[in-house]
Amino acid sequence: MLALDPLAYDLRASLVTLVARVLHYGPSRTYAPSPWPLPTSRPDLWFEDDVQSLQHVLRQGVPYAFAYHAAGWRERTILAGDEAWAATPRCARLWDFTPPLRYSEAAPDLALGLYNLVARRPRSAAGPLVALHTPELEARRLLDLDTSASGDGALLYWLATGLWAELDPALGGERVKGTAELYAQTAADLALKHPLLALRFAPFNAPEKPTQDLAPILRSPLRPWLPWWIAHALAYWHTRQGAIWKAEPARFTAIRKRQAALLRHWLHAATASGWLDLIPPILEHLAQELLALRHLARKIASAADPDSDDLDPRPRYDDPDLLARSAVAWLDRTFKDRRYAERAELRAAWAEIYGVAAPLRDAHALVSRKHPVDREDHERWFLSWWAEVDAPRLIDDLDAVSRAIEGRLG
Amino acid sequence: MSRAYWVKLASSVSTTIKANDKAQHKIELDAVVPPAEMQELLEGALGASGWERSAENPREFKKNLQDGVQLTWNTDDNAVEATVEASRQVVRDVEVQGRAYSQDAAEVDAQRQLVQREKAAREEARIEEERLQRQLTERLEANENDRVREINEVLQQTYAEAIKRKAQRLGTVTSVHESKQGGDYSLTIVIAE
Repeated sequence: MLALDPLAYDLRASLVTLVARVLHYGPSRTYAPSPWPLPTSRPDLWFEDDVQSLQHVLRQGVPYAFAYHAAGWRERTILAGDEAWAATPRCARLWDFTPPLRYSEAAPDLALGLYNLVARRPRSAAGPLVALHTPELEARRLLDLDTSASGDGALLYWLATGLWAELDPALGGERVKGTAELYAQTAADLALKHPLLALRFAPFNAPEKPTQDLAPILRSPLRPWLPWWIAHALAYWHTRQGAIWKAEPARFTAIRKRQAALLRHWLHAATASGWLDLIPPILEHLAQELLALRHLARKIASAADPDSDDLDPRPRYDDPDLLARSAVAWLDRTFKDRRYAERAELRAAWAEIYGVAAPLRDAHALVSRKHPVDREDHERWFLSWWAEVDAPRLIDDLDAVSRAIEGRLG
Repeated sequence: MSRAYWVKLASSVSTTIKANDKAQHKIELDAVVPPAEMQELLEGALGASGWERSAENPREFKKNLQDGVQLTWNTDDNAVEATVEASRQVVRDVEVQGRAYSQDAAEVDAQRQLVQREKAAREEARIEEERLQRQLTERLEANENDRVREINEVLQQTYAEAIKRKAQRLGTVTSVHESKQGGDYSLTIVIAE
């Protein structure tokens, strides 16, 4: 482990700069520190200062990335045993509760390899070092790294999701060419090794795995961070699918089905394991989906052009039937050249996700049936949160929209 | 002195164009009475509404609507599938003339033209197939209200019968009043405890 053996690894100052920059400000593909490529082998010289700097950057940078990139300043409730705590990632209490993250010796190689794979190569780059760091070689090295330490997963998540901002596999294979295509494939393979990445990318990358098991994360030291992490991953889903669905409806259908399967699995895992603090980010995501549908309906009603910024000011979009009718009419208009069966499949996939929260009613009923005296602290918190966000109404609306879009009768 | 050769070739391009489309309606049948009894009532309502039990699968009921749309109600998974399909033979006669100063060259020219014209004829058939597909899709769209009405009629009968049976189990039914006005159906049951 890096933390135990600081001189076992040689690092260049550029690596420290790179990792600090990536974690603190978000990486940019065009940012190319000198010299390029960054070294990923073990040179002959050791620089103890750099090793210490990197340790500092990792310890500080990963939590900072949480706070900065995952809206971590937002207070969330987490479960510490049976207690429910309100916390933020920079909260001292959370850090006391969370075992310290450990980084393996492979962590620097991970950072450098990901960067070298993605960075734009300067035109002048040439020589034996460059030949050793072709994207193909970097990709192979990355997949061979043993990055099983707790902090490695977090580091990989923030590096990969940041770098992905420009090379996004979710944008579709045909739009990801050359190095980007290789990067997308590498990242998809890495996602299979790291459940945290899978949280974010699974619906887009892994058609063969409709559900990703939450159990490894629930057992990992990163467990207390999951409410922020899930919210961050789901926000990504929300923005990405918007870019895909009109251009590639078949792909959107597949992605949407996998999203619904994952959400169902996660909600089941959260309720079955008693980790009720994982439910709010998922329900918030569904509320966001409903809000987006309302927004779409208001746009359709005002301008008949969903790309316009005009909104119908009439406050009538609380009616799920009206929302669904409006959405379906627009969908039929948009895809009028397609077969009815294809449109129906798109409708069903679109609708499915709205219905995934329905089993939460049972989870709530189970907790509320307990006598108030017997309820644990986190169960009391869950019941008050449930009432505060008016979860029954939200779930009813989601369910009604789901049924109406899919066209269920009965 | 050279002679001009004309070679005429003719053929016929015959293509069968096929198109189909389908819509599916999932049915959620609330269990007013025990599920097995609901299924029995549903099958009774289907028979009363002119749906015919399929010879191949006794759990399937079929009904043909006027515009060529066929409805299939599967009572196992309670889904109704509306299908529409059509096929047509498209025949295009193709005739070309090749010209050259030798017979071989004229034949080659005619053959080349024939290949082009046959390709164009197949392309026309493909466009015809797309048009047929669009027509079927539009027919299925236009039929939506009719088939939803058909399905709702069956569901209404099923629920009405189920409620009547349920009422009988709750007490002594003293009166049953049913009325239909426009599309509205109302059922009033009075029970003496």
